[in-house]
Amino acid sequence: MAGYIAGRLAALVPVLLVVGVTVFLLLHLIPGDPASVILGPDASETQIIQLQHALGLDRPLFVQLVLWFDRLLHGDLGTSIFLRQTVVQAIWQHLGPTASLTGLAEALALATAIPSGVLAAWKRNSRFDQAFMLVVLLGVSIPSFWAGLNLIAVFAVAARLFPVAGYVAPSHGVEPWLRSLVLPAVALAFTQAGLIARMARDATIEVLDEDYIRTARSKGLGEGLVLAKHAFRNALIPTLTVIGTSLATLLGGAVVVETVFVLPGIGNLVVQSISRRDYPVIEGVVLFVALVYVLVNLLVDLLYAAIDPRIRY
Amino acid sequence: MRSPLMARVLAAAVVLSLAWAVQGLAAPGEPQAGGVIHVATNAEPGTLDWQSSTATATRLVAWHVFEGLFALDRNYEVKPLLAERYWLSPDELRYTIRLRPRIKFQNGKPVTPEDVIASLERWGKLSSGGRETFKFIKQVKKVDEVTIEIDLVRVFTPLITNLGDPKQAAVIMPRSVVESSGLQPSGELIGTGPYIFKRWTPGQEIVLARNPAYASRSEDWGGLTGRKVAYADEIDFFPVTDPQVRLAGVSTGQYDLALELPQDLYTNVKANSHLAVDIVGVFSWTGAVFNKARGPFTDERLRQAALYAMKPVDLMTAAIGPQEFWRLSPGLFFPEQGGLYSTAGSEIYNHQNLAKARALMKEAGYHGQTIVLMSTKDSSWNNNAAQVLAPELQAVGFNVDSQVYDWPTLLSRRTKQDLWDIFLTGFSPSIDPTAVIFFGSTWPGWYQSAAMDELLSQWAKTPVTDSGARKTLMDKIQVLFYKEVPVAKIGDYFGLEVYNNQHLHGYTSYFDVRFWNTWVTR
Repeated sequence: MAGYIAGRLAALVPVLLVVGVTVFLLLHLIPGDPASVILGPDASETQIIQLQHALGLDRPLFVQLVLWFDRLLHGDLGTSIFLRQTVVQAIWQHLGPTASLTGLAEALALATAIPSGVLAAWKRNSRFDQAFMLVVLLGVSIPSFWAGLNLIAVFAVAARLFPVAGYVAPSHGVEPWLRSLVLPAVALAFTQAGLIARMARDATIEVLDEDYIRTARSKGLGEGLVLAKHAFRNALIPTLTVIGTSLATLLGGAVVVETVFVLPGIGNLVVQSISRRDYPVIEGVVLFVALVYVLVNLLVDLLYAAIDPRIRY
Repeated sequence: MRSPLMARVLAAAVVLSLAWAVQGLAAPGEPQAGGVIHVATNAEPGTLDWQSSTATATRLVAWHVFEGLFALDRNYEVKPLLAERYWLSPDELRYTIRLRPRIKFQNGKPVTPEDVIASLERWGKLSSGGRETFKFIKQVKKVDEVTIEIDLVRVFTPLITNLGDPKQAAVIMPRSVVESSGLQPSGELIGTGPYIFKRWTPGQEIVLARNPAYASRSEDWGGLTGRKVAYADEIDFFPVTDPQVRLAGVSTGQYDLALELPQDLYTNVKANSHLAVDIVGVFSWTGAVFNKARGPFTDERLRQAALYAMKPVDLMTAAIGPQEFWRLSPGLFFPEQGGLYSTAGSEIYNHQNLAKARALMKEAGYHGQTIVLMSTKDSSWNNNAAQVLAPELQAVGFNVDSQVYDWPTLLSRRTKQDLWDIFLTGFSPSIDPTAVIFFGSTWPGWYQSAAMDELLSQWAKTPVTDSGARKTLMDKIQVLFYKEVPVAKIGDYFGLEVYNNQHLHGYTSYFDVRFWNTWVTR
């Protein structure tokens, strides 16, 4: 197991290198530069050239790549052009809201999707199952930004139950922190729940048709016990795969939801940085997300072994 | 018989009740100190160093913190701010400016002539207006502890106007900050304004706090100068990019004011009695900028042809929407700007003439070269206007290749002469013809005109007090603008700011929002 983990971690290095260099080159290939954005629309060419020089953006691309790569090898992701802080500081500062949002969204998604998916499988072809499938279809079809705007209209503007936008750090109190996260987390969880619930239902249906379930029932076990002890655990493995990939998808969804709800998370940071062409931050965030993605996948693979004793590394 | 203790309790209760009643009877609209003003902005600034950036997002935060020697009043005329007064020598080559006494920076140190000179010299290097102004300045020198002198190489009457220009303003900061920042945007935000920069959490908020030591002028000049009272303890600016969320936030009272809402939300806003609408008349005008350095539009006849092909009413309807938010006006300046406003050129502006456009194209020998029209989807009006402009140009025979970019890409591409022929943009108010950005030869479009240079030179020699001569010159400048067409003006458009009238009081409309003399109640 330790050897397997070490091997997977070692494989991270080439992945991150390829991601890093590709992102660097792609970013510098798209037009636009931070100097023009900082200086505003009425800036003259002379001003822009002055600032480009001061920021080192007038150097040949190859030189910029070598300098960036050299810093990267020394563990330095660089300094944001706009934020006046290092990229690591910027990511750290924006990590809290994103972790809170995705954590809450994933918890909401799991808490609603798995029980309802298993229940729909058990009540296959019933009215509950049909209603479940409709809701799931809506969940995977409705874009999170649209869900978010509607949630704002109903629960923030009409009912005044939650703030329209903004983030309150947990240091200011758990209740205001949760209130600032509920609507964005629901908007984000809706799609996730749809995906997970659908997979949980399909996997459970498949398991419920297995011989060992029939055997369990013939032994006289109650349906609850059959579902909980025999069906659920076996149905969890394919569901876990979806949960793993969905965590990474959550980070993507967070980009949109954080923008709509003005949460100062990683998604908001990357959107702002792209619109300002803040190259070091974009490169750093993409590397960070790639790292999270690979680590989550590794964690999912390790959980397989924990859940299914037949899987050994 | 009541006990003394009971009597004291009753007396206290009566006093408290009276105090409560008096508070309840306080005249409505009475300014009150305290509270936090919450502002939902549409964009986060790249920097708060006002000398470094022309961006609106920078200016509307920075002018609470920084001040210049002069600034605009409510009528868009320049009045002293940090300056007490100035004198002009008889030969008009020396300006002597006296600073107001006892002005201090927010770090507690007094403002000295050395600070003023260092700040002005930095402005002269950083800003377009500053560089233009410093072409006429021989030296800026200290006279005594409260006085400086500006010696000119030749008469330049817009000097004071340019020192009060709010675009990349000539604000005064400590010399030490100037020296440590050089020409890079400064991170040390120390000014003399009514609010102090407190913190900036990127993507979340910019917080300003009241400057308790602020020394205000006493005049009721409005605008950016005169009496300024910082009633609120704090001003918090929140960058909220989605306009629907800005509107929702101001509707619920989470924000006190929402900036730059799309004009088509006007009907939603009007329906809410808690919301007050501020239609900002002096806001911006839209125009199509021609590439005059390379390509077909180096020929002014083709620029005129494009102008005759355009129908501003269609373009403005598509771009902005409700008629309350736009106006067809030929002026380079806004009617509200008094002496600068001219209607010269109105016989050409808004006179679509397709036959004349085709004739001019034929005369210029246009033979179907591709016209690259750039617009941005980051601003809905811009992209909408391009959707109408392209077919209008095609209707007279221009071969238009319409290209849509995000704003940073457009900003970058427009600096390259071989990548475009026309781009659409908005022009925020200028305060002097010499400060009109597209009259400069280095700004994208690369306008070079000996005739315009001559008129601007005459303008720069004409005393500000000679309104007759200035009017004649302004008309000539605008006639030449419509002859040479460096930019085809489409129309004026107005901003839509919305505020919660239950919470925010004393707010007055201006070309960008300000929150001194404004208070909140909750």
